[in-house]
Amino acid sequence: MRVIIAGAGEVGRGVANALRQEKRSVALIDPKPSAINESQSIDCLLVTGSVLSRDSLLRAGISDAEIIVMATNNDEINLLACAFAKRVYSEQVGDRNAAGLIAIAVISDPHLMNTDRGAGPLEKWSRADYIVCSSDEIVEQLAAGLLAPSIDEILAFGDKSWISAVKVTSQSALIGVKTGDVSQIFVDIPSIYAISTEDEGGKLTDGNEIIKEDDILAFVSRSTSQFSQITKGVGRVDPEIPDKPQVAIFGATQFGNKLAQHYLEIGSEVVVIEPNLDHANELVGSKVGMNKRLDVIHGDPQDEDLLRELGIDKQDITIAALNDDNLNIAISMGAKDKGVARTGLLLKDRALVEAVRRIGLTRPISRRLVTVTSILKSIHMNIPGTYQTIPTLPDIISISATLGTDNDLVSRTISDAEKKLGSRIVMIERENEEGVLKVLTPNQIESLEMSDKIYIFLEKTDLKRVEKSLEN
Amino acid sequence: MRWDVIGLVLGWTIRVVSLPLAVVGIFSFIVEGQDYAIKTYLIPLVLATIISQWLINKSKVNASNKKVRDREAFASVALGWIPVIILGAMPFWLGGTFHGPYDLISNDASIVEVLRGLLYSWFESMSGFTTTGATLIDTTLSPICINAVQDIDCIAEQPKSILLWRSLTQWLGGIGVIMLGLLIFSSVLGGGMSLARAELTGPSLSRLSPNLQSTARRLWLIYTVLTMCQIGLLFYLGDMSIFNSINYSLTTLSSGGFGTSDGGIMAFDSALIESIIMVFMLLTCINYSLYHLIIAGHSKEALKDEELRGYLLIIFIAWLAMGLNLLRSGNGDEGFLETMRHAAFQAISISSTGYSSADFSKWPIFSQFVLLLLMIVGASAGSTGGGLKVLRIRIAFELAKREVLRIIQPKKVIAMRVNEEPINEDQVFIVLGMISSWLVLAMSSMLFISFMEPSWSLDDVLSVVVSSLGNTGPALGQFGPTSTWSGMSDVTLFWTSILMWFGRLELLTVLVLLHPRTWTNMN
Repeated sequence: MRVIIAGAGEVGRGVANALRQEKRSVALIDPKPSAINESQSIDCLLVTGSVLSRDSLLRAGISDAEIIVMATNNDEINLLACAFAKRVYSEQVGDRNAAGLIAIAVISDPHLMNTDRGAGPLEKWSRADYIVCSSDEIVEQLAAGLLAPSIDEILAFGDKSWISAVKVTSQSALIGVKTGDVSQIFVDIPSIYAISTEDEGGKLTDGNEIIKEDDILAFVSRSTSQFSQITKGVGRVDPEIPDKPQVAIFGATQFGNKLAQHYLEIGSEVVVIEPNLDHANELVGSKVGMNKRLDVIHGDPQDEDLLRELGIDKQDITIAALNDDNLNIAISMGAKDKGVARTGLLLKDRALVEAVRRIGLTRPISRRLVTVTSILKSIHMNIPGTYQTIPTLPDIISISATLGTDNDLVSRTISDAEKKLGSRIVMIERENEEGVLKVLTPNQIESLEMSDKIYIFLEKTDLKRVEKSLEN
Repeated sequence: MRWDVIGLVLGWTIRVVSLPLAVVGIFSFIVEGQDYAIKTYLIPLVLATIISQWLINKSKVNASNKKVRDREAFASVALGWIPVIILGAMPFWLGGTFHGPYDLISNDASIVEVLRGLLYSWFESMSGFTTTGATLIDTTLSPICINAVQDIDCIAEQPKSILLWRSLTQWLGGIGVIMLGLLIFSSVLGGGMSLARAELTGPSLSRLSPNLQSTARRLWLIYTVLTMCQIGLLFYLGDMSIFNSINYSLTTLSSGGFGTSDGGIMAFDSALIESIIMVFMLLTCINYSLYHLIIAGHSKEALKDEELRGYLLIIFIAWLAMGLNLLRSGNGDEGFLETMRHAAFQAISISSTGYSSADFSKWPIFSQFVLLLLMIVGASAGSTGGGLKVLRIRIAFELAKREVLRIIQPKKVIAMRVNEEPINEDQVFIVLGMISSWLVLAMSSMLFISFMEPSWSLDDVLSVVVSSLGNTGPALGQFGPTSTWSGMSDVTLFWTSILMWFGRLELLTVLVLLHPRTWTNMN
C-alpha cells in the first residue's frame, strides 16, 4: 500500500514525514528539483515531474497506490490532477471507476467550494474523494486558543471537540488528587486522558495517578466553555473576556477575513487594519463587509499614531494575519506591549511557531501544520493511523478507527474495550436513528456498536499492537 | 467623426419613424378624408422616404469596418433625435394645429406666424418624443381654436389623427426610437452595445439576453403587452372610448402625459380610471429589466431590488406628506378619501408622466415643494421615466455619507453598495458627472430664463426648468396642470425644448456633441 503526495512543499513534506513514521510507503512528486532536494532527508520515493504527467504518476507507482494527495500550491491543478490520477489508475489497474484509489485535493481558497459563487460541490465533478481546505480549522483553532491563553496547547479534535494540554502550577487545587477523582472536585471539568510527569514521561491515565506540580495533563473537552474549568483547575488565571470581545485583526487576508467573519458572527466589534488598499476594498465589498460592526482601516499596521487612534490597547483580542511572518510577530508583540491580554498570530513557517511559542507571549498557529493535520485526518478516514499528535506530550498519540461487523470490540463496554486495547477511548462518533452523526463521550454510552467511529489515545510504542487489534 | 455611421443612424431612424406616421396617415384618410391625409401626412412621408433612402445609400458606400467609438455612438444617438423631431413636427405644422405653409398660401397668416408655427410644432413634437407632455395647443396659439366664438376645449377640437400622432410620438419616445433602429441594424453596424448604452435611460439596465437584438425585442414586447393590458382595462373597466383608451395608454406607458382634452384625466373625474392609470404609471416607472427577471421566475430577486423599494418608498412618503398637508391646510374640503386619492395620483404622476387629477398649482407650498422634488428625483433607471433617477440619487447619498464618515475616520475604507453589490468608483464618477452637469445646466437655464422672462415668479422659473429637464410636463405657478406653456417667449420655448432633449438623453449623451473632439477624426 502506497501513498503518493503531489507537491514537496512544507505541507507535502509534513504529510510524508508523518506517514513515514507510521511506516507507510510514500512517494513524493514535484516538478521543482529544489523541492525534491529538500525532501532528500525523508525516506521515500522522490519523483521529479508534474503530477499532470502520466509518466510521473507511473514512476511514483500509481498502480500500487491506495491514496493520492494533491498538495501543490495551485488549487486548480490539485482538483484537475485528482481526475487525471484516477484516469491513469483505471488504465493501469483495469478498475473502471478507480474505486481502489482515494484522491485528496488540498485547496487554499475556500470560495472555490461555494456552490453559488464558486465551483462547489467540488467532490461531484473533480473526482476527488476528499477536499481539504484548512482555513476553517485554522480560524477555529486560533479563536479557541485565544479564549484561554493560559492553556499551553489547544488542538481541534473531531467535530468541535478539543484536546487541551496544560502544565499544573503550584496554586492548583488538583495537586494531590487522583486523576480519576478530578471531576468530584471541579464540576464540569473534562476528563484527563493522559499525563506527563517529570519522572515517567507521557502515559495514559488509569485514574490512580496522583497529580503533582509541573505535570502536564491532557483533557478532551466537548466545548470551549470547559476551558475556564481547566484553567481554574490547574491554578492559572485568564483575564476576563466579555461575551462579545472587541477584536483587532491585522491583514484583510483570506484568514484575516475569515477571522473577522468568525468574530462578527458572535456579535463582536471588529476592526481590520490592512496596508493594501485593494485588499481592504475587497473585504469591504464582500458580504462580510456589509456588517455594521466591522471597520476596515487602510493603513500601516505598525503606525503608532494610527494604532493609538484606533485604541488598540482597549481591544480584548488582537490577531496578526498578514502574509509576512516577521511582521506578524512584530505586530503581535507590539500589541502585547500595549497591554492587550489576548494576542494571536498566524505563521507559515512551522519552525517560527515553535520559537514564538517558547517566548510565550502570544498564541501562534502554523497554517501549514494545521493543513498537514487536516490532510492526515482525511487519510485516516480510510486507514487507521495517527490522527493527532500533541507536541507537549510527544509520547502520546491519538488514532481513529471505524468498527467493522466482525470487530472484536463491538458490544463491549468502554472499560472492557479499553482493557482489550490497552489504551483510552476518548470519543465516539455514532449515527443515530435519523442518520445524524452524534459525538459522544465514553460515559454517555453503555457499549460499542457496529459502525461506531472511535477516537483513541495511546502510547506511541503501542501503535502497532493497537492497530492490529482494531483490524480484527 | 464617422459621418457614415451618423448617416446610417439618421437614415434608419427616419425610416423607422415613417412607419407609424404612415399608419396615422391611413387613420387620417379614413377619419378625416383624403385631402387632409395627403396634405398632413403624405408630404412628410414622401420627403422622409427620399431623405432616409439617400442617407442609407450614401452611408453604405462609405461604411468601413472601423470600430464605432463611444463618442460617435453617443453623437449618432443624440443627432438621431433631430430628424425624428422635425418629422414628428410636420403633421402639427401642415395639419393646421399651428400656423403652417398652407395658411401662408391662403393669406391666413404672415410669414412670421408661419415660422412661429414651425417652432411650436417643433416644441410639441419634442415634448412628445421626449415624453415630457407639455403642450402649446390652446386657444391662443392653435388656429383651430383662435377663431372659436366661445371658450372651447382646444385639444379635443384637434383632428383625431393629430391627437393619435401626439400620443404615438410619446409612445415611440418612451422606450427610445433608436432602440427600434438598433433592433434592425445593430448587426450591420457592429457597435450595437455602445449605441444602446447611449440610448437606454439610466445606469442600471443590464443586458437581458446575450445579444442586443433579442434584448431590444424583449423590451418592446414587455412594453407592448403592458400597453395592450392598459387599453383593455381602460376600455372594459374604465368605460372609456376606444380612442381615448388607446391614447391614454400610449401616453401612460411612455410616462408622457399628453391627453385628448384640455382637462386631461381631470375631465373624467373617475376614481376607477385614475386607479388604473396610477397602476400603469407605477409599472412603467420601474426598471424594465425587473420584468425580465419576473418572467424568468426570479420574482423574489426583482422585489428585493433596492431602487424599486426606494422608488416606492419615496412615492409613499410623498403621498402621506402631501395628504396630511392638504388635510391640515384646509384643501381637503373634498373629504379624506378624495384628498388622499389626489395626493396619491399626483405623487405617482409627477415623477415623470405629468397627468393631473387636480390643479396642484393651487396646493399649499409644502405640497408644491414635494412635487418639485419628485420632479427632480424622477423614476427608476431603466424605466421610461425621466428625472435624475432614484438610483443616481441613492448613489449620491451613499457618496455623501461616505465622505462624512471619512472626515471622522480618514483611514476607514467604506464601500458604497446598491443591491448589496459594491459600486465601482468609475460608476460613481459617471453618476457624479451626470448630477453636476444637471446642476450646471439647470442653474444656467434658470438664470437665462429669468433674464428672458422678467414677469415670471421664482416658482415659474424653477419648475419650468426642472420639469423640462425631468421630462415631466406640467410645472408649477402659471404653468401648472390646467394651463399650457403658450405664455412663454419664443426663445424660452426653444430653450426648454432643448432642455427636454438633454433630459431625455441623460445630458451626457448630448453634451458629448459640444466637445470639439467628437467632431474630429482623432482617436
